[in-house]
Amino acid sequence: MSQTTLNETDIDIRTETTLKSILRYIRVSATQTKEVSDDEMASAIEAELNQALAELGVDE
Amino acid sequence: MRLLQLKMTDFRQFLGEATLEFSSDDQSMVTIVHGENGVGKTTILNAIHWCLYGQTLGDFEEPDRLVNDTALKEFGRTSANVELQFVHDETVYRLSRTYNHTTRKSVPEGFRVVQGNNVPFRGIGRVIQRLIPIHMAPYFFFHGEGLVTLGTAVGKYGFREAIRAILGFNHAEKAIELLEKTRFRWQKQAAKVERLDAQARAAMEREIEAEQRISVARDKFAQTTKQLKIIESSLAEIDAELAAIRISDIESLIAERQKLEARQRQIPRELLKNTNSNIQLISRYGWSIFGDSTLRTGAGVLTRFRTERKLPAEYNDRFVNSLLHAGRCICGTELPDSSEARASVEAMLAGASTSDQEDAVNSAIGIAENITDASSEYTKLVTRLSGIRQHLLEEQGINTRRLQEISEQVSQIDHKRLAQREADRRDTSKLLGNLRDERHIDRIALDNATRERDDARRKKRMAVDDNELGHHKTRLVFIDHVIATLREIIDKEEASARTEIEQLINQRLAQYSRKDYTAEIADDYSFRLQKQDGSSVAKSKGERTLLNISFIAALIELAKNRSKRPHEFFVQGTVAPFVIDAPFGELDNEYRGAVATFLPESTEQLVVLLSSSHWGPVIETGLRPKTGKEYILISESRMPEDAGKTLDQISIQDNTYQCSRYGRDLDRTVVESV
Repeated sequence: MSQTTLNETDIDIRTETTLKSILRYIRVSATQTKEVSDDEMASAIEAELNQALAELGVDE
Repeated sequence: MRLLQLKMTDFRQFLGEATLEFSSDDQSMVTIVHGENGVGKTTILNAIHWCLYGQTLGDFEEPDRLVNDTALKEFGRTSANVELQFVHDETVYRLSRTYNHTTRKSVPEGFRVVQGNNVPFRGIGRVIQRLIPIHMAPYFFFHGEGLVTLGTAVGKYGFREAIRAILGFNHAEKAIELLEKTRFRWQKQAAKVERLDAQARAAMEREIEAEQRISVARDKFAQTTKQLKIIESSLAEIDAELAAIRISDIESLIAERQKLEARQRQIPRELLKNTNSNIQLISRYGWSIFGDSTLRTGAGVLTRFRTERKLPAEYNDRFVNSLLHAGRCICGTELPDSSEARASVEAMLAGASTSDQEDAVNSAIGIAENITDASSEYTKLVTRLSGIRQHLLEEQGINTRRLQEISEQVSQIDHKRLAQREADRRDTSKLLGNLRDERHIDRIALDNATRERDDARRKKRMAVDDNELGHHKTRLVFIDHVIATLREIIDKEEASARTEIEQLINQRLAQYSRKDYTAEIADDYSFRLQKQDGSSVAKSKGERTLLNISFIAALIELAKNRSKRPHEFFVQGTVAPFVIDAPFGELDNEYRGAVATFLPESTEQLVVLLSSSHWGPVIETGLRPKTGKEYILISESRMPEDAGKTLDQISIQDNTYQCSRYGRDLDRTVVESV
């Protein structure tokens, strides 16, 4: 069952871990020999956000 | 990142190969290159920049004439090359860039140096962009004049971004850029869902309205159908009634009656004919009827006796004669002449039948059989005639009864009633037609309303439910929170960095400035000198240069410091060599000493390009403790020694070096290690 409101404490905690994951991903992408396109990075970031939302109980 | 070696081949003033090794260890990270004006200090700064980025610095004159003139004109060499070796994270990279004078194009080649071998590495451009993005290069590969004009760049587009990149915010800013992109997409999706939601609501209203119309149309249709059935029933009744009394029916009855009466007249004739036929049969076959039974019996007896060989005799003369002729009985007894046995057999001839007797018997049987056949034929024909007669008599009876019925029906017709019902039928038919039209219209209305309701339902299904809209809104709330949080983190970090830069500058000022001034850094990184009471100070050219170089040094030092404290959200600050050409021009002796002292403290690697006019004991005192490599650029010329040109000299650690040589074979600059 999807929920449409977020708990403030949960969102803060999940935001921090999400941001760390996103920045780690960008950092690693920048070190790849083959350039990672913005679209690829945006997709990965969206997936990370969706994962966070799922953990917050906001499923699609 | 630290520079290891620069090798220039036929690049501007440098004919053939010229190599500089850079000092790169922590204790002695300063490399000093001495050279008089026009000998190649700025060329070295530009060679590094060009090799890294494929372009020279903005103030480098004639950037398309990179090939050494002598090499081009006298030796026909049309290309110039710069090779730069640098180390980062314990990996040694070699970047080689060759300029073709004919095509005016440069081609880079990257390598990783692995155990002394060059391994081609195509990703070197990305490594460089990651370490020192080109927009940050002006803050690391610096022309001294830029120190004076740095203030003009402050606050302009790119300055703050460059500083943030130096401080390692670029990944976090990239994250914000990508998050904003995602947010934009989500926003669009939410807007679409919202539109769909509005459509769903409209569809729902349409569905309700259509349902009402369906209900009305269905009632109307049912009512019309009911009326139609009643009218249809009435019409059926009228038709039934009319069917019984129609004029056409009367005509039909009369026609039938006429036909039946004609038939009744015909039947007696046919009966008479039948009787005559019967009589004829009797006259023809009558004789056979009377003896039929006897003859059948007689013919049977004759046939049986003949079959049992009782008629006409037990044996015939042909048989007895054949025994006598053979001289042997059928029992095997010999019949010799004059024997008793032969005599007995000969006696049989008297009782044996002859051929004529046999023919007579057969003929009698044939006649008896023929008479029997005639009798059978007669019986068959009589039976058929009898059937026909019977049929005619029955038909006659039926016709008589039907004629009576017709007579009764014709006599019962009420002509007035007939006219009335026919009028009723016309009215009812018209009403029925109207009702059918009405029902057709009702059906169309019902169909239309049903279609509209189905369409509304489909649109409603395609649209979203409240939960989905809520989901989209929640997603936006979350991503907004993520972006805001990251911005907050960056802002906080930037404020902290700004404070740190301010503290570093003020430490320098406290240490080296003659006056009790402090610097204040604004949000856009513009900075000003202020007195203790907070009022601004109008800076002299020297003070401005000191403040600017302090700012750059503080920035580089902060990046260096940040590289030692890993951050969860930011990359390490840019740690790059600081290559500065003529940094002391506008400074007085005391400030030169100050800069020469704090620059090595601030940077990871320092390459200072100096003319003899900038060199002196104060600067040497400041730089010497950290200096690992030192070079002099010597100008060699074909001009004769006695041409009266000044012989440039420089004094380094109490030794005097000649910076120009005349009467040489070639015009060029050579690099000599001190």
